Amino acid sequence: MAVLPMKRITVYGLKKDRKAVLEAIQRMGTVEIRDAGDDLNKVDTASFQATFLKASNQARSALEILSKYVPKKSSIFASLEGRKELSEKTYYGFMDSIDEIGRIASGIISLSKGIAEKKAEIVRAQSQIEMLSPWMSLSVPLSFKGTKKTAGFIGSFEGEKTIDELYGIFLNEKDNISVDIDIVSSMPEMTCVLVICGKKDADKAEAILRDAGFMRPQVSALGIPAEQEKFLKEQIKKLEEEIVQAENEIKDFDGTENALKFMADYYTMRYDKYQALSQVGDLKKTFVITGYVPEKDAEKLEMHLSRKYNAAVEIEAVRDDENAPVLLKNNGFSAPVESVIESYSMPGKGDIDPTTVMSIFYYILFGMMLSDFAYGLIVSLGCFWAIRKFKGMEDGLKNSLKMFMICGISTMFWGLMFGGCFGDAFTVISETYFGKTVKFPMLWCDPLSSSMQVLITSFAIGIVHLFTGLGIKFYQCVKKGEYFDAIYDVIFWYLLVGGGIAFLLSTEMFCNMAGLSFRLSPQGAKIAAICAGIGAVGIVLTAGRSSKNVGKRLAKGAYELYGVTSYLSDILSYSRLLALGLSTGVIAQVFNKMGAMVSNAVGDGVIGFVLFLVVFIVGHTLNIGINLLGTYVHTNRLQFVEFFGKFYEGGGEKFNPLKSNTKYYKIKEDF
Amino acid sequence: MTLGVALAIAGAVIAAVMSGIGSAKGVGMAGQAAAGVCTEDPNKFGKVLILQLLPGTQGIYGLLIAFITLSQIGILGGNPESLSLYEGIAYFVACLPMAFVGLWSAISQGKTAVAGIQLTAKNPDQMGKGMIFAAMVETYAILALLVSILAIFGI
Repeated sequence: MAVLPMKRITVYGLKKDRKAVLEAIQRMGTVEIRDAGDDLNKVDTASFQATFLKASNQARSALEILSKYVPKKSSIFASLEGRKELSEKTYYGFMDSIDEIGRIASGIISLSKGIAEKKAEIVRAQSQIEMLSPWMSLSVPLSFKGTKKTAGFIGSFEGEKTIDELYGIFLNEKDNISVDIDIVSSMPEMTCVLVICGKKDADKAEAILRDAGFMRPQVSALGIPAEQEKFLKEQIKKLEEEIVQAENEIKDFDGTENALKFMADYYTMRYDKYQALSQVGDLKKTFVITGYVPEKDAEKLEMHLSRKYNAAVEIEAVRDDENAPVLLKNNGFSAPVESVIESYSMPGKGDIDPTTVMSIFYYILFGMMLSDFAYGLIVSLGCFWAIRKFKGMEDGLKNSLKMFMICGISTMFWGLMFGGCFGDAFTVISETYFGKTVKFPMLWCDPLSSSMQVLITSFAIGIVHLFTGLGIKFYQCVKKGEYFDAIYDVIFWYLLVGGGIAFLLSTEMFCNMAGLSFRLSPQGAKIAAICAGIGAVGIVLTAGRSSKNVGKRLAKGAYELYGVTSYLSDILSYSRLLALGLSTGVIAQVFNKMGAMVSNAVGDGVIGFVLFLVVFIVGHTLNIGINLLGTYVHTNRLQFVEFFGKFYEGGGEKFNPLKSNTKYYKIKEDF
Repeated sequence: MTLGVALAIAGAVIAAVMSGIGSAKGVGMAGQAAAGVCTEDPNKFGKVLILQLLPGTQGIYGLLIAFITLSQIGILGGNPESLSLYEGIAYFVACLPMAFVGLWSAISQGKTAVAGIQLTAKNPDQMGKGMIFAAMVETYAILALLVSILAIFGI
């Protein structure tokens, strides 16, 4: 219904109570703490914050590792279940063993690090073995350089070489060196050789070899290859055993998940608390907390803090120049679309809460774009079931499901209007299997055959939507006391656009095109034209009123008048109501027809029907999914661009109280 | 089979083919970006998947136009009408808005979706805005769809 009024709160207390007061505020979760001001000292908690953040992250990564080694079965609906509540006993049980849990977390992490390192070592050893493979038949170490009287060269040539080719390298030289060449192995890409010559010829031989493209092996293990390989293989085996052992050790931690989850939550809470603490004013013997509290919670908070902790609580009105955080409050019908507004921007200063008005349009537009009775029924029943089944569901998710549930009901309504239920499933099934035509009841018209009628209706809904937006702007201006602005920025536009539309309705061409049965009388047209004229002149004269210079002012006004084209495009934009409605219906028809064609091709009654069902289920599931997404996105767009564009400033900051911002457990208020 | 029928079928095919190509490109682009995000944070899968799907609608619109054209000229019902050459041309031309706008808008929407996915990667709370940016592009595909549908039913 509205933006909740906020109050500014200041809490003064004795330093010894500081922790308790902060914790009480955190448990109540109704205060957004702000910096106490530059002229007060603050406690530096940065290092504590870092420690807690690290601990919380550690618990989370330990959980992740644990879930990798000990996979837990979780149902696909697990995400709907929400956080579990923690009993007092388990809470204190975990609290007492928090250090122990911390050791478990770091134990799991170091084991997993160890596994990663060992895996890397195995890969290194395997690549060593790979590189050694061409040298396996070598009986001397790879580092062999020769004996007392001989020099040895171990290396390879590119490409496959025969022994004659290798000897040929030395034959061509002037000074004849006698060498002995052994081919260790040869492959198409390289030939590995051992060359031995007399010690005195070593330098010459080396030079000749180098010129011929001789390369030393790129292996760091320099022992006898076969032994080296054996050693590496043993090492790998040992590493593998160690990995298995470490994995088993991690698996032994199975069952500590809950403790780890608690640890993650616990340190997150402490982190939040210390972050809040860093904004608390720190005096010699007292402390000062400043922040915002919703008016409705202010009294309770004041009572609680002053009674229990003897703190002085000061509640003041928010000053005009302050940017107080925004909290919305709406009834059960409208509240579900708050998240849509939030994803755009929270109401800023001077904005009213648009939720209620928007929710009505939201449901209507959504239903018209999906417009299928059966789809609406499936969506709303599904959401209804989930909300009933999972009581502990998080509020945000519950609101989204509620929104889709109401959207589903609206979809059912529009499905009845347009006669769509799984597209034309009634007609197709009855014709294919019962030989007669049964149609799903249609209360208004078929958008396929009377598309012009639905298109005009879409535009009409659009005009109402846009004019409502303008109306809200009018209300906002009046509320702020800017009566002239209300006339200049709203009434003139009403006159211009409304007059223009009315005038269109009096022209024969437009009425024929739109298939309208009535036409505005010439007198009416005259009045409409005069209204539009007044609006246009008014806009030219007033829209540029921020400029003092008359010429500039008129130019600006004329430019603003040009903005009438944006009204045209805004209204045309509502054609998507028809287009998306059609696309749901026609795609559904495609699947029905495909199913019927398959079924007819088989001919056999039962098998044919089963095949029809398969196509039907797969096709309509797909269609619901894709159209639900499209409808959601485009409903949002119509709200954000066309509707909000007329009046909404946004830019407010969401109320973000200090509370138990946990991920896994709900920590109860008071034990 | 008359030349008119052949032209009408050609129109239907071109609408499905070009929009399909556009969507395949758009969804492909967005999918690459989405996969990149998932390597860092697999939990964002659901969010980026939705963004990836957005440029996929043009392909469906193309299919839709192809389908209503084919059913309008009786090919799907099994008894093709004998269209005159002019009627055939009319069907062909009526399919073109969807074909061209489908192709280009899907590719542009794919690029916008990629940007939206990057936005989501950095700031998951702002995903709704990324979706709206992509949806702005789709408007023109919807307008083209509408023109094609109205033209086909008007013949």
